[in-house]
Amino acid sequence: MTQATSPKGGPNKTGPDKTGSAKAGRKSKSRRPKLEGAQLRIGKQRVPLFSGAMHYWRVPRHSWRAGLKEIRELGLPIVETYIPWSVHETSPGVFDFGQRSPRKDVAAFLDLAADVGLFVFARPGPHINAEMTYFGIPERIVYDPDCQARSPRQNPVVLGFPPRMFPVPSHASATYQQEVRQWYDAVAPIVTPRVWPKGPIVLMQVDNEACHFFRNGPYDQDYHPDAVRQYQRFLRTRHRDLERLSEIYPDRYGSWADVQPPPRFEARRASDLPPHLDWAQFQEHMTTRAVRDLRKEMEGSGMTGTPLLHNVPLGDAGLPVSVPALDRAVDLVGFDYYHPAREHRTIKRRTLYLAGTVETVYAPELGIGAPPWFTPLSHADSLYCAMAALAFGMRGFNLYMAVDRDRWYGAPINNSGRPRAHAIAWKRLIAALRDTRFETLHRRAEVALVFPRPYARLARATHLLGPVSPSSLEAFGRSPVDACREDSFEFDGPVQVRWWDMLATFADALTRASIPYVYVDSEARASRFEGYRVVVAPTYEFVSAKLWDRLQKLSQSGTHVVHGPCVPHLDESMQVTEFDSLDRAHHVHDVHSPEAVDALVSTWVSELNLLSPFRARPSVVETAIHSDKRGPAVLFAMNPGQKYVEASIELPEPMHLYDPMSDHVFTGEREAVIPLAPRTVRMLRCEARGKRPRKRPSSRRRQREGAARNEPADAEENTSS
Amino acid sequence: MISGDLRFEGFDAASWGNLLSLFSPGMANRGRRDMDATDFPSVNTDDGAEAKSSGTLVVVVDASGSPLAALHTERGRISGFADRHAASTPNTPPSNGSSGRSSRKPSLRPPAADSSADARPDDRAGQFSPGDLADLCRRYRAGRCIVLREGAAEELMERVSLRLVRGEDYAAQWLTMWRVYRELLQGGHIQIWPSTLTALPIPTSATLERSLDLILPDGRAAVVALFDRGRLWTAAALRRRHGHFDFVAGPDLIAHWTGPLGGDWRRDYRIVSDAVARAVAPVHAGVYSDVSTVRALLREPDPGRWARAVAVRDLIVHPTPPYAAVALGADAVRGVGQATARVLGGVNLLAALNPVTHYVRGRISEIASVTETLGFNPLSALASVVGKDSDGEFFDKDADRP
Repeated sequence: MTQATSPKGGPNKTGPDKTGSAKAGRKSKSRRPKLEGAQLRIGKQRVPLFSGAMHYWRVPRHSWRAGLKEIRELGLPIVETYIPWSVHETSPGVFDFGQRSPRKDVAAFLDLAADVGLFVFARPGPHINAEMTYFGIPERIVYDPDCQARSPRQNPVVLGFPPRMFPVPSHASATYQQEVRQWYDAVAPIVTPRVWPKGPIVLMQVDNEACHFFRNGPYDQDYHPDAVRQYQRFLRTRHRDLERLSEIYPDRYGSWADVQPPPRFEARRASDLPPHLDWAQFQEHMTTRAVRDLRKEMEGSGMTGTPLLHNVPLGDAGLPVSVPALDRAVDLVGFDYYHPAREHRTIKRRTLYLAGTVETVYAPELGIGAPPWFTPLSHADSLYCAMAALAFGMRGFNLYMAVDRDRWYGAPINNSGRPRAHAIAWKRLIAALRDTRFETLHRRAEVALVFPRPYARLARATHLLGPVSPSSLEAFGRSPVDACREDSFEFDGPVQVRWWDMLATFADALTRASIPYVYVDSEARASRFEGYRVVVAPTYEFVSAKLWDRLQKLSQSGTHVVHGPCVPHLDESMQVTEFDSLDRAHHVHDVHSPEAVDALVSTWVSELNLLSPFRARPSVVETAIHSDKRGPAVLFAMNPGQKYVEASIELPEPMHLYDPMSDHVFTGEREAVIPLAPRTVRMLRCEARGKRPRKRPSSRRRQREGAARNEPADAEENTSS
Repeated sequence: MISGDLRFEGFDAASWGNLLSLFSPGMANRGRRDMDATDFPSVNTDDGAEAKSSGTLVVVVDASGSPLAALHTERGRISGFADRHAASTPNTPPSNGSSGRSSRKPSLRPPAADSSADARPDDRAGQFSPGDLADLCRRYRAGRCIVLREGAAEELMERVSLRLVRGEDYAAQWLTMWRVYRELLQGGHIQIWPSTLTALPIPTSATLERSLDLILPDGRAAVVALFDRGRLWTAAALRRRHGHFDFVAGPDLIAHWTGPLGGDWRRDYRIVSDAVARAVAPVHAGVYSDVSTVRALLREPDPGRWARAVAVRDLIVHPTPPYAAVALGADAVRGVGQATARVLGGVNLLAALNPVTHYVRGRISEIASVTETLGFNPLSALASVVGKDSDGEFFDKDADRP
């Protein structure tokens, strides 16, 4: 095996410190980078989680410095890059890290990043996607039958992504894991010496979008023998007693090894459901376990010492992925965002889910542009998506891609390292976020909607389109329950569909009432349920005992718990269970009627005095307020509609609203009128009246940026009362 | 057809969007649709007939043909579909959790020939008639309807995975998938309406390759560059090498290769063509125009318009590969036919020229020169017949003659 070392033999420690970031921190006391809320503590510095992606092997070597400098010019302190296995492995076990191809000199790239003053977020895979053929995994691996995931008939599981369909690997395969170990061992000598404080690497990611490689229909995979053994161990841990399993399952078993995963959906009654619900839960478990195992492998090879991240792709509500479980397996889990503005609701739902379920809302891939085979995204779409996600609580992001590359369009910096025209908008946005210290603000929500994971599992199990999975439907703008069978399984109706309907009905009602809310996954840490005044939980005939217990505690502690439409009498294994009644909770039958839910929400407003800050008219406009200790700091006003509107926004006190993207200032006593072009978001800095508007950018900067946009540098002031 | 090492680069969001808006407007417009009214939109059949039919209605049925669920790809889930269209045949297996299925209405489908639960996978039991599917499309305002027997999508992927061969390119892989799809269609696992492509013979990889040889020979490039007020509005250079398309370059790269352009696209096209030849491969076919011309041509496919645009250099095809010349020649012939019909008091010469156009089409692979084949240059002939008025609009020189 070729020794994996840098041609330079180690990290670059030379170069002037012009920036005061990467190198300034390195001079300080040596400490491991650590996440503190939405900030990264590096030595004595606190750095926001703002980064931009650049793929060194896809950019001409002579453009590396220019590209990195432009990332810094955008205002980003961190550059992110994958380290692709298939690019560096030239033949089995032989690696080129720049010895032959200069573009593959990842060590030089990392050192150059440090030299330019950037920290690095490194993602060594093994799976990277990145629109690469075979997703960055060597061809020999994907065509090794021992490494391949298996279908119920033991066939390979083929993914249809361009430019080649290929059989996807099995995360459970011991052979695949062994191969990954060798890759990590090869790349670790490049990465490890460059981990902070010796080098610029301050974040790492394990694997990428672990979700069974997008072939995640409920009965698509994985029936690999190693996966089946994992399944049997999972059942053993979950049910403990084979006798009990035989009572719950339709069949009787002599040993755990006799229990085989269901190859298709066959349930007709509630009592037939447990094997399918277990299988759906196992698929989540398998994903988490794969990430956890790969983390151990990374650490075993020496790639440690930074927070470890993982990203979840589009279609999260239909994925075999448990975000709470992943959140326990890595230090930070986030969602990827590639949405056109018309998917405002999806952007909102996904962001509010993260806001409720994990501590920090982070986007490991916040799309600027897209691959050519995705739904086309304009610059305005990308900007809308980013700003709407920020509005609903995103605190950190990785702009993907910051520098253009093969199989991509729309990055703000081109392949030669020159900024494109629209880079200025991103620059202004990032400057505004840094000026407001946006990562330290918070968006207050008093209502939590519980995302009921067991019902989501039933939805996955009853999905009828196989490989066109629930998450694919969701990723293409539909809901993950759209293709569920309609059977009621002796329940009052199709639970697998109704839970989604109920959440949508409440979300719509809360939006109409301008009441901020979040979604909390039913399996999130207990602390994630605290601090809300109202918690709404869908409960049908069966419920997770753990959730019921949680609701009980919440109601006893004074939280206004609302559940319905049923009082459950079955546990997750469809065993009759006598649940203690939730004495102080409110059982609501009619949870699917918009009128009834509107009425319910209005009682919360009148009786519980729920906050509905900065209400806006017309109703198409949504607002979101982010505060610091002193009060409202940043207001977002969103117009997801297709028509220009002049939004009237109620103000709690006389204030100036400064738009740092356009330099407009709006002033109002009790109301401000904000013009909003179709499908745009304004980020407005709030300043109480009587004080000067926020510190403006330097006149030189404004002139420079104004000239670039052909606009006057002076701010325009609009006053309304 | 598509290389595993395909390079696609040099587009920003605007230039890529511009390219799609011309050649794949449906895809480009997907993001411009209104957002859904709720987080869980469902199809309301009472929305009124004025709503346009679009998207696909997907219905999943069980082995006996009884619907299990349906969704509209643009409008959402169709709640209660199974109940509304459930079969009432005595052989239908009992429904799951029958509490919600007690009051079934008659099915849209005719009684199944064999609707037993253990029906063989390839039988045609429980098929909808084309009329049923058309009715469903009308009712749910869908442009097409696809009916999948439960498990059909899984079956498709199982069969495909067995037949994929390592090293096959993407086109060959899709042909394999198309063949499997056709098998499932013939076996009754899938029904589609309207069935426009079901009779089309599936080409082999070799046939496909031969056709591509004609369109873009190996080692050559094709270019399209559209200008707006003298600036590149969008452009793409496509290269074929070792039998595969391996490089798609966008306007950023092309501008990098050309350096600054003069601002007159009728001159600049040669610079673009030469630059692509230097940086990518010798150019086999190139199309250059102002974007407004191309928009108008795509909007109004009148006979002869393309040929007229070429004749008056509103569209430059350079070099002109034989197939493009033939297409333009045929278009010119149609245009001449229509123009002379007016002059000759309604006598349509186009019909008389049909044998010539058939002959030309039949010899497409042998044609080196349209002029040589036809014995006259159709574009010159057209140019002598048509001209442009001061507003740049086409007119027939002879149209107003008494």
